Amino acid sequence: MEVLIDILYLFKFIFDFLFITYAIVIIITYIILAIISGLALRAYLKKNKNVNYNSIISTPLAPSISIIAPAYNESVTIIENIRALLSIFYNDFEVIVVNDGSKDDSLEKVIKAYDLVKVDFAVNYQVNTKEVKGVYKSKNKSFEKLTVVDKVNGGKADALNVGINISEKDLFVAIDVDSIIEPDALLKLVKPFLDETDKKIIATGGVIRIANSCLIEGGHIVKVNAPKQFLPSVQVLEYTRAFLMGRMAWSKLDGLLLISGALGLFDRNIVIKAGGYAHTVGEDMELIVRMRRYMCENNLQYRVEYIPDPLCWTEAPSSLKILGRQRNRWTRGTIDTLKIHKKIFFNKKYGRMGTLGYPYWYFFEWLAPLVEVLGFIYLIILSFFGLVNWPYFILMLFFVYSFAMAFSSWALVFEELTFHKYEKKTDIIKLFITAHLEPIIYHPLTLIWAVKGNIDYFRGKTGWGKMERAGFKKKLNNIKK
Amino acid sequence: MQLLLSFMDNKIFNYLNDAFNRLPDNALNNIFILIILYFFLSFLILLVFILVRRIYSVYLKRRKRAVFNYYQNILSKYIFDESYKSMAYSIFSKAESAFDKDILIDVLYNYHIKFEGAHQKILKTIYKELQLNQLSFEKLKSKNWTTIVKGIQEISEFNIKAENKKILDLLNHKNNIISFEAQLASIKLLPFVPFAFLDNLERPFTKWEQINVYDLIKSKNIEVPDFRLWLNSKNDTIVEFCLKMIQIQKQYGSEKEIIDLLDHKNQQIRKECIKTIGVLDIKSANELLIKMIPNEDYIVKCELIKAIHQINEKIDLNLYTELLNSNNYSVKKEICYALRDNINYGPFYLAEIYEKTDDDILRQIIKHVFDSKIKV
Repeated sequence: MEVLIDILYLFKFIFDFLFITYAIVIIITYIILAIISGLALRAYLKKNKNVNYNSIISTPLAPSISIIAPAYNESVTIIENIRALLSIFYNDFEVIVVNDGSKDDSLEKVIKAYDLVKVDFAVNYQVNTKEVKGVYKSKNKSFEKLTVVDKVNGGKADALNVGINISEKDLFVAIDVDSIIEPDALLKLVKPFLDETDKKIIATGGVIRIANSCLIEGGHIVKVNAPKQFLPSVQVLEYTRAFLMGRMAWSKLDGLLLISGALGLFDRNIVIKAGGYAHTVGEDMELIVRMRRYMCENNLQYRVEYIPDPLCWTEAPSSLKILGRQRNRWTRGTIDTLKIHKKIFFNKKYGRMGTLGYPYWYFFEWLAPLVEVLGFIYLIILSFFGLVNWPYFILMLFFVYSFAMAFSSWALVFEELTFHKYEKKTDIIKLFITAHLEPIIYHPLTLIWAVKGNIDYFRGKTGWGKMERAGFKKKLNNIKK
Repeated sequence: MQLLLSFMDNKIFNYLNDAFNRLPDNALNNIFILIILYFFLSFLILLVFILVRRIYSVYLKRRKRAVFNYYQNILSKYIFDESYKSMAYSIFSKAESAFDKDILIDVLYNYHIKFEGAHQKILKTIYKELQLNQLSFEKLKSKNWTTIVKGIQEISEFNIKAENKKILDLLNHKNNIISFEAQLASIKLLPFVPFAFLDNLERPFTKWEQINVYDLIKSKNIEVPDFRLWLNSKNDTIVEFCLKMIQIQKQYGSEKEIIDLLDHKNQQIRKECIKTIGVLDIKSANELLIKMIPNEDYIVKCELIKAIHQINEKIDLNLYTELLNSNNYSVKKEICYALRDNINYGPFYLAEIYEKTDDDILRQIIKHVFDSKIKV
């Protein structure tokens, strides 16, 4: 019996040690990343303070760009969103909308609105895709930059690959057709490509912001408001933390593994050489990792850059069901990418991606929620045996809670000192209150979704899950009411 | 089990276990309580910081705007009506604080960009007579690179040539942004040799710098140099830029130098060179371009076919037929475009191929090139 108790204490010691070490490492990592991000943000703003992006608009010296927008059942917003894309500031660009076998009347609406006719377009199948049913161009000269492709449904990655095959420009932007792109987004995204010296820029990404409750007119954000509902509000904090305090640092450290699928600019040739988008639910992250692998394996010097300017606005899920599906998908996408590219785990050959970026995603993006849930189960077991030091536990709980709050507050300070998008004082106070509630109400849900995502992944679930959006147009009407 | 028991007897385990158990609970708890308090306090302080900062920045913005508008109104009156001169000078000379003087320079600078001729002269006179140029010179000595950049921009905008030497010294500054601003300034300040900086530039001349130089040439009507002068530069980015400028400015007379670059080891330069031959319609290069086709990769091949197509010289039908049977989509498409536009026999030849070929891709490409709704 004594031996058994000793063993129990041994396990308790090991687990206590592991959990505490893990928590300390993760907190220190977050703090280091936040500091690096802060410095990188400061340098970026200083460098670009007086940049006149307008000189790119009319120059024949800038690279040409294709905007590729996959669309699936986007009938509510597609007309307005295409109009917004066509009005983007850039000289040599085209818009390729890929209708991925929509079941609604998206295609019919677009054909009618933009006066489209089917053309004899010979698709260059550089990346394998599902069948293209037709390519459409406008009879109206005002829309000559627009190409609409109708294809058999094959998912977002397949639709993007079709866009890549249709495009003949130097670079391409992958966007979600239901996102709102800032008119100067391309000018800012292309800037790192123009600054290229000895290292080839293969991709740039921008910050994605939440558009819920914002005032939108003609496909553009007219007034930025903090979301009225709790769930989108909490996502504002999440996005601000991730983009301003995380990815900025990873770009600086040259370990960035993800450029959001909602907006990213890529070197088309490198993407084709790397094999295009893979058929996975985390196609955005997987592409960056594969492009980086391609460059490393061919001994080519490269960089993936990140732009902290808010360039793209998206509608965040406001229902638990939809948000849960989205997070489930993100978890599956992360695991899939990590699994496909397990070769780079702590592999020096892949530079900082192998020694820093990949291990971070492995331990802190994939495993963190699982460790947290395990910790909770461990707590239940210990309390069953009466081994919990409750005052100490409460102290730890307060420690973690206060850290989460302080971290979110810093994210809001970063936002305030940089882009200052939430002008109303009440918006800032609202977001601070949300930061209070997030660890108690929202965080446990993210753990459940992450665990479910893990279970679904290992049970072989590969679908995207149905994503319903209210549509900005409808939202605008609601705001006006 | 034995292993576990032996591990429990292990010295390291005992040491760690003791260390963990002997942690001074009170001290550790106090540390945690302090950290928690710090986090909570920082939460409150940051909220107050944001709110106070907002109030201050609104105040600062309003103050700046008020001073800016005040100076702007007076300047507008003076520019369009000489009788306001003494009033304007008496008000401007009262600007003593660095804050006021900086805003005054901003107002003059913005107007100087917008206006031309006599108005520009008035603005420059005010800038010099109030000795605001001294402030700009002082900025060149700053340790802050953004202040140096501002100084360079002001001096070059007002075309103050007295400090040319200082600006030229900054051409090789280790900070690329300062060096780039100095390049732009030297274009404005050195009327006889505005592009002299291209002679000594060793680091890559980035696309962003190229775009800004081009923009400056356009907006300030700067006399365009003969870009052929730098076609032998050792800096490939300068050669590439010059080839692009020769295309844009349609600078004829550099045929020999361009043809000489066709065997350049840098593929990007070869590509740009071929493009230039097409744009300048250098017919004498046709034979050479045809000879290059078999030895180049598909990217350069496409440029070669395009250039030959552009200069509209005779084509090698046997070679083109051979290339139509190649596996490369882009090459096939360029050949089809070239044949389509060859009014003598091209369209008929393509129609014949369309009927005879088993290559579905080629058939699709032929249909593609004849579809007038698809713009190239």
